[in-house]
Amino acid sequence: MNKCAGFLVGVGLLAFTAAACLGAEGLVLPKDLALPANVAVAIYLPKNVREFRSAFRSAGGFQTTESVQLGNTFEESTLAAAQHFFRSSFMYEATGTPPYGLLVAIHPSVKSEDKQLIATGHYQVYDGAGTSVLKGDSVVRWAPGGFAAHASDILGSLMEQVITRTLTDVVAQLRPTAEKFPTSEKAQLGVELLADKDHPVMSGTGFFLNSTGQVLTAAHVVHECAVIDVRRESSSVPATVAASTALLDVAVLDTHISNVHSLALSHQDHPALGESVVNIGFPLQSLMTDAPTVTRGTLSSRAGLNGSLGQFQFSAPIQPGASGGPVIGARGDVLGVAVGTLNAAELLKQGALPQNVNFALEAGYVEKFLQSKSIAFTQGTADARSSGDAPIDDALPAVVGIKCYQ
Amino acid sequence: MARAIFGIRIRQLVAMIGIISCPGMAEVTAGPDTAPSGQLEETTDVVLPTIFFHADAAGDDLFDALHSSHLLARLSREAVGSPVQLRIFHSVHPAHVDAKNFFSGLLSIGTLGLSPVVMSGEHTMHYELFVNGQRISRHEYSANLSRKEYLSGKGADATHGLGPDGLVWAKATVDLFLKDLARDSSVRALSEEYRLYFGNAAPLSPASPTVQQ
Repeated sequence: MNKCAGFLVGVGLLAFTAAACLGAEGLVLPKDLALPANVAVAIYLPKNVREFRSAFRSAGGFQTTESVQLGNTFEESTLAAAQHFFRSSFMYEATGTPPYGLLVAIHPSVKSEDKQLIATGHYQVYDGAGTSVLKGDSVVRWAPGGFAAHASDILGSLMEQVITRTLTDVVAQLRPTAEKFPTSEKAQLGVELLADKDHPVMSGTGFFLNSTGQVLTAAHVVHECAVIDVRRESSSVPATVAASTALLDVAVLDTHISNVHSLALSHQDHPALGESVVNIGFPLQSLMTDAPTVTRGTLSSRAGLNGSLGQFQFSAPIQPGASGGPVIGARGDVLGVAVGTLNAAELLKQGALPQNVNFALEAGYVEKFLQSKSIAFTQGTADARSSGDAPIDDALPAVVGIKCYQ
Repeated sequence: MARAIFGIRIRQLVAMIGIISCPGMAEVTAGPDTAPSGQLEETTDVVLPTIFFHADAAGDDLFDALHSSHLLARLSREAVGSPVQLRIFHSVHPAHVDAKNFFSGLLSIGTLGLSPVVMSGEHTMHYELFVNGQRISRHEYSANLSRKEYLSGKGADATHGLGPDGLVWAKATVDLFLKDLARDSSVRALSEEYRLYFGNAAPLSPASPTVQQ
């Protein structure tokens, strides 16, 4: 699931159509306020926002000459804007942030309403001792106007204005100085306190690997999370990443839940073509209740896409949020971990509508990864082949939903 | 403050109009400030899986040079399912408008595009290596290039906005990138992990875009 999808949902509807009433109206600063303010400021932006790029947006007129038109990241744009407000400004990092006098945490979002795009920056400001000194929302609206504009350009401008407006509010209301907000060497706020826990940036599925409560999931589900929640039987527990590999796209989480029911990894070197499989997942967690979804299908190919590594194809339907879920074979053990599907929207543009072409990482590679990290797991027995449907009841208690917050 | 903000936006607009109105012929009038590298260090201990190649038009011209190296021998335009992706693109930071640029622009307009506009700026070739969407390596090479562009010029620019000399410079960045890539600790770590799971030979399979769920 694309981490920036949330931003692009509204923007995509209006892309390439009309254009921009993009202005900086309403930016009012007291006349006696001297800028840049002599205070060290750390700025927290969610990781997915920091790395987002928009076309043509930067102080330097950055652009490319060909089809890939990438502007500065929001991190670069934010720091460029912040230098007008503060003598010293830098991004907040989970570790290694220099001492600061103020910490400005901004959570931008965009929604579509009444033919307008509304960008909101929910912000909270802390002093060097970690005390909250200001919070509020900065809002910028966009409506179709005069000339054509690209979706990412509109988005970029909206977000930049939200950040500029937020910083304007901060200096106008706090009138910060080094004396008022001295740099503090002590007690930096943890990133978990800065994350927006109302809106996960990613959700996925996982399953217990062993009785100590370690959960296996897809690495992209838990990449760069400030906070990870594992949801099980309508309650949730915090989790941390114990091990991860981007190459295989799997990760192990520590939950410290003891005596849990876990799933065994398949003993088969290569699963049998046509074998009945079940996928259990927690898809569409923003829409659905906290109950798992079960889908059935077959193992349809031992190979994945051109260039893929260690994957097989299966036909049990999956939805966004199913990543990391177990693909369970007829003997009840895990044949693989769901990691992706064909991009139906992209293929539809080419005139093809793929159905249930999904991919999982083979259990054998998961085992190699776990062995290399000395992580305990159980392996299924090499019993005679079962011809029945994959069992579900035993597996359900071991499957959990996962949410990632930034 | 507001003036500063609007000042930025006016400069952006000027730069955008400049590029939009000058899509024609391009010619470099001053050489790049990054010299081509010497002999490429070949490394045999780093083994990478099939890598999906994704580039803009300027980067696309570099495929053959990259593919001929030992390190990127498995570079592919077709391996859409590969967890490893090399993305290459070219960007320009237009220089501030100086007297030379300004008067060449006026002259060009006065001669209905027969006289070239002098365009200068910092060109950068970006090389980024991603593993399942996570960027593990980023290398950038920049040069200040000036070139003449004709307002009257029509049709595609075969040099992708770089100009002939700029194109030579862009190709020279391949050697720099390969040297840096071979020394990159994250690439070595990727190679070791790849060997751990798959040995030296990657299992290949048949194609279409995927999305992570």
